[in-house]
Amino acid sequence: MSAPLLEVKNLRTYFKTRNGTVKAVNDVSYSIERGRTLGIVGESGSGKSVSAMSILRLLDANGYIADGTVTFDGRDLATLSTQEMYHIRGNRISVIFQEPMTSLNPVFTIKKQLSEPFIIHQGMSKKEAAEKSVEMLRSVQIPNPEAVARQYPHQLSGGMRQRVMIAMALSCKPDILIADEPTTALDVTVQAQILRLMNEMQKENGTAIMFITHDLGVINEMADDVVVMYCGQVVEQAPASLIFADCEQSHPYTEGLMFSIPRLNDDRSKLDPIPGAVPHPLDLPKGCKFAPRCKYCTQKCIDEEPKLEKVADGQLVRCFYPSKSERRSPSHGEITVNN
Amino acid sequence: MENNKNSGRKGFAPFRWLRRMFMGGSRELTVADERYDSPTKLAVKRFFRKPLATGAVIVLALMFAFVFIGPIFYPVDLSETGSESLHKNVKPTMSLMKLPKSLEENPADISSRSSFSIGVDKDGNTYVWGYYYTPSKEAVANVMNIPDDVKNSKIVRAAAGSDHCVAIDSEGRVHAWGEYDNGQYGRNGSMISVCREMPDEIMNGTIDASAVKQLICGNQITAILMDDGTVYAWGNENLSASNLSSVIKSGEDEGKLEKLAFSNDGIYAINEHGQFVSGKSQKFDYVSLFDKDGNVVNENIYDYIGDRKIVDIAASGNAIALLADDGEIILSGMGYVTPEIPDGDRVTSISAGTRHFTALTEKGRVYAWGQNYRNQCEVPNELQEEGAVDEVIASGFQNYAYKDGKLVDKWGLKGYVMGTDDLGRDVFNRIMNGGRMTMTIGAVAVIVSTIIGIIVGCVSGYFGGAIDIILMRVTEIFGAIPFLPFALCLSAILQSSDLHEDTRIFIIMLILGALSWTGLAKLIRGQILSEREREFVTAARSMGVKEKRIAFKHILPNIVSVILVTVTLDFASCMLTESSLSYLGFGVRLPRPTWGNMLDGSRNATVIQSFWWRWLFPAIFLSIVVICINIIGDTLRDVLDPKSEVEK
Repeated sequence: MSAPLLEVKNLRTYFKTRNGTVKAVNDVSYSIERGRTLGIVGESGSGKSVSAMSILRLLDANGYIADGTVTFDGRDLATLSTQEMYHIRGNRISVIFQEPMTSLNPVFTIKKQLSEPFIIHQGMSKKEAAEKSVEMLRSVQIPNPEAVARQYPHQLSGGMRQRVMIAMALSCKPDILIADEPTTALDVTVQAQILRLMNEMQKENGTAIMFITHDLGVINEMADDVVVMYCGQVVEQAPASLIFADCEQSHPYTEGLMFSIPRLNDDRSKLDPIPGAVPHPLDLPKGCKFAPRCKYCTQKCIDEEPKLEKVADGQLVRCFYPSKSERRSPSHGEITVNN
Repeated sequence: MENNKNSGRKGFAPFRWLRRMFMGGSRELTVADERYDSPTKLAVKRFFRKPLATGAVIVLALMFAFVFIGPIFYPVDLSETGSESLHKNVKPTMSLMKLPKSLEENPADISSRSSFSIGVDKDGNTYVWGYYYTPSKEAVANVMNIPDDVKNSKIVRAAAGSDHCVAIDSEGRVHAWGEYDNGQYGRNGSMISVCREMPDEIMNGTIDASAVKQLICGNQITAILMDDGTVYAWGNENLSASNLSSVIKSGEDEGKLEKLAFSNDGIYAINEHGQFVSGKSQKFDYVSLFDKDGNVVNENIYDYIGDRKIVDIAASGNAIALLADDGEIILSGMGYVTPEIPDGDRVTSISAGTRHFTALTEKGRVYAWGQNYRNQCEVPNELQEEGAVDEVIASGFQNYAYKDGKLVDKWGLKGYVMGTDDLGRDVFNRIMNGGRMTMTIGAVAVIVSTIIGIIVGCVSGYFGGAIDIILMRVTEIFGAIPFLPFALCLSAILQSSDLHEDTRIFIIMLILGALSWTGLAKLIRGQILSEREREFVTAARSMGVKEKRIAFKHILPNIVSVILVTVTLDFASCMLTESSLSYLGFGVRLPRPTWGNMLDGSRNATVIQSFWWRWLFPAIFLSIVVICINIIGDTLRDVLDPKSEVEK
């Protein structure tokens, strides 16, 4: 097997705050293969976006990569110069953001914004770039692209804007597209269209997609591999097929996420949400980070931190009790401490 | 869209016109349309939907046109001619050349020297028109009050001096009125005599009215020339009396005097032998001529005249013109070039106003030269044709042309729309030129402060950290400087240095700009701090856009609206600051006008009470412009902030 296109290894991204250092991403490793889709799932604040932003070094002023490597195409992005990063961003790796409403600059026309990557990265003239941007709009299936190109973001609907964002992100045919919750702000029908579009574009260009979301349904549809993150750590990593097939082993957090998905064929009267909330990043539990919310939590979980261990082929789980049947058994119930 | 230009017209015509001008197409505006407009276009549409703001824009545009285009046609004259000592504090009037009707039809004699004129019709009625201001409470001191015995007599000749009038009636009595405290006439029985014949006969008796050849009044001085060469003259001894007596004496020696002319410093004459009689005065002893290389050389006027005879003499305030018998006009005391008379025509008579000359040719053409600051030399076109007139009288600042004893045309100074100031300068002209200065200073100061403000604000806001802290402390230091005292100190220092006035004014602009950027810098910094947290900035960074480009090309356009509003309001305040500085005498110095230093005179109570036009007009103009700018600024704020917009 050849080296993956992008390999994140032992990445630690910290933020300095007045009250201490926030370990937003704490020893995270994953990799993306060319032409495949990696889904990253997790609650808000689990560090999924920060890990993606760390790849492009687009952290806020107080954030920094404390440790680890981000190997892209044989080079460590964490140590590249700022000038070299300008060349990577938008050209080799580009990003689609969650809010299509605010990700476009409200004072420029679509054409002007779409032209920018062409001008910056491919050194096109304004006129060429403008022609190219209309072409891009057509490729993301925007009707009447010439007219849309002359419009301003506020004149477009959310779905249109997200298409524009995708067009912009794909304009330089990047190797990796980081989609940071691209469909969260859209309604469900538009969401489906956008996802279909992304799939098509991926097939066309062979782009690898890193798909960040908290929506497992979307992950099921899009991803080849899934990384589940919690409190800045990877708690489970597995092929999508395995996670969504009711597999034998999993992390209790993944299990909880699965339970909180509403299903049409469900006979439950209520959803089972995961109780409690994500702990404060400055006040993380000593042992397993999920322990306070885990219904299978034991004293061992509270005292010791489990390691990410291989439980099956291609599946890594960070839990002392990865087996579902085992932790659901009455004997395990005797050693649980919560509830 | 363009097709229905003629249908669906709505709204007040100028607004519709403006809408068409700014937006192209006069289609009706609907909320639905707005969805397809660019933010700028939308803001403009919203702006012009507000009548007050539209009105303010129109008024301001007119003001701009007035102060920036006006001076091209009417440049300010900072030299001697700009001010007119005879027109001090003339109130706003356009009636200086408005002759009474009967005089218009039947004129016998018209005379003027300063801002008022006197005229006599053929029936012997006397009229005074124009404007005269006297601080004296006495009725007779005001030349505008014609005494009863003048009204009741049949007047044959009248003349106006600078501040008095003299009239001779058909019975030979000489009447005088107006100011008298400098000996203009013998109010208290002390008619000053420096003439051959004692003027006692004038005081107590009569002269032969039919034998009066010439009655002229100068600056506080009067002379009557009789047919036999006798001169009765009296007036202010200090001004021109010494030369007066010497002229009269030399006239006695060399022949009787034929024609008299008063300039500011004395009397000059020609005698029956065609000689120029200048008495003791040597002021006009030289004529300035150009040699082959164009250099000015002075030549003795008597040598220049040679044995030619002088047939006519005319004197303006500080120049004298002699007409030689070969038709040449010999000028002394002024740099103006005499008009070119076409071949086959020659000047037959000359006449002088206070600051200009006119000449009449054999064929009846009229020419004028000299100071044209008050339109004295704007000879109507039809008078330049042959046979148009047979007599032209230049008098004061006006000219009257006669044909067959009838007044056919007149030209010259009609008056001052906004009056004059203490040095006789046209307030209207100064408002126009002063406005240009004030607005230019305001604009340059605002541009300077905007540039500094934007750079400091952007750098500080976008890059943050230590740069931000340092720049903000610097901003605070600048902001803490007490503005007016500091500006006063700086301009005082500048005043004592011997810089050129233009340089000094430019430095004042820079000072104003350099002291007023702090507010804008802080505003921009704050805006950028909030803007740079927005998603599109992260999006731009993720596209590989460089930091500098993000700050100036992506974020800055988003806060242009805020900058625009602030800059507009700053423009108004910079204009006001300049005005206060100039008012206090530390800004632009006189004689260069600005609206601020034009208000300078209003520190004086007399000015406020009696000469309201001197402070009211600049104040009105300044207020209107500042109010308009503020209205525009406020409306811009409303239309550019989508949250404050409530659709009607």
